[in-house]
Amino acid sequence: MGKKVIVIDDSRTVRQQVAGVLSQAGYEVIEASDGVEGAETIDATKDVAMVICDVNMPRMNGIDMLALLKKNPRHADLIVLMLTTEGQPGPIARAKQAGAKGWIVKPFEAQLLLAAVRKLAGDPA
Amino acid sequence: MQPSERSDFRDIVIGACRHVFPQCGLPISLDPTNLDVPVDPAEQLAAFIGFSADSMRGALTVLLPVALVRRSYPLTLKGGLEAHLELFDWSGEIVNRLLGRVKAGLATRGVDVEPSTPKTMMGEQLQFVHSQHSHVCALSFACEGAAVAVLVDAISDGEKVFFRSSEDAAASQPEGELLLF
Repeated sequence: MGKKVIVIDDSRTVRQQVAGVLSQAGYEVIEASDGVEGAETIDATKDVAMVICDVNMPRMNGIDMLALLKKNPRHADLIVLMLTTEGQPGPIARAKQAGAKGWIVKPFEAQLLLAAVRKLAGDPA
Repeated sequence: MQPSERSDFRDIVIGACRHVFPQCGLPISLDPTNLDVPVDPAEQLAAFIGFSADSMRGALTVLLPVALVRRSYPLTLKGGLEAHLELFDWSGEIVNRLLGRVKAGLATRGVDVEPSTPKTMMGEQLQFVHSQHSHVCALSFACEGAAVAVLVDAISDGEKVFFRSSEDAAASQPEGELLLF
């Protein structure tokens, strides 16, 4: 199996789009549908290479989830890329401060997303 | 909100629709008509999302014929109930992206909008009451022989000025570009 990438988005369509691109490239994709489920999934998964996370989601947004996770030393080096419709400087700055490594405003091109994942998490194997 | 601001808000919504709908596989006509008669909600999906800003709150609703949503779905639809859920989800994502674009437009006028999360229901379950009090715009865009309806309602604190000066405007990160920290 390839490196594990956790995709967190409340839209199953977006999750499946992202999963399709990454699975085809050889990554193992695990999905979660909001910040609470995302945090639980990250906690329960060993060797997470990277997380791709939406911002506006029910129960817990992506930036709050990231800030929560980063309080745990185990997740200090977690690589998180935000993928969202948000493009305002405020949320981008908050995500950066919380420890995100990158930001893409939807919609995304498959090749750009894959290049970002390769750059941040390395090749799939 | 001042009357001229309502007009500007309407223009921002139209610009967002022209940008987002074609990206989502919905090739709408460029020029909408004002929606002054109720939409027949049969075989329509109603996707909506709330938003709030300093001294204002509202909702953006999009009514989409099921057949159009089905044609625009970007992946292979599954069968049965799964397909139904996928169409609901995709409609929610469309309205989410539309609000994201409206938000970027409002940001250029110094207004910071906080979005909620999208919801979708069958159109039959939604009743519209057009209220002059909260009405920003109700638009109908022709699309592949059908129509896409877009409604924006917002309530602000009286006639308070809503848009800010250009110094308060914030530039948004462009779509589809990678920003690394």
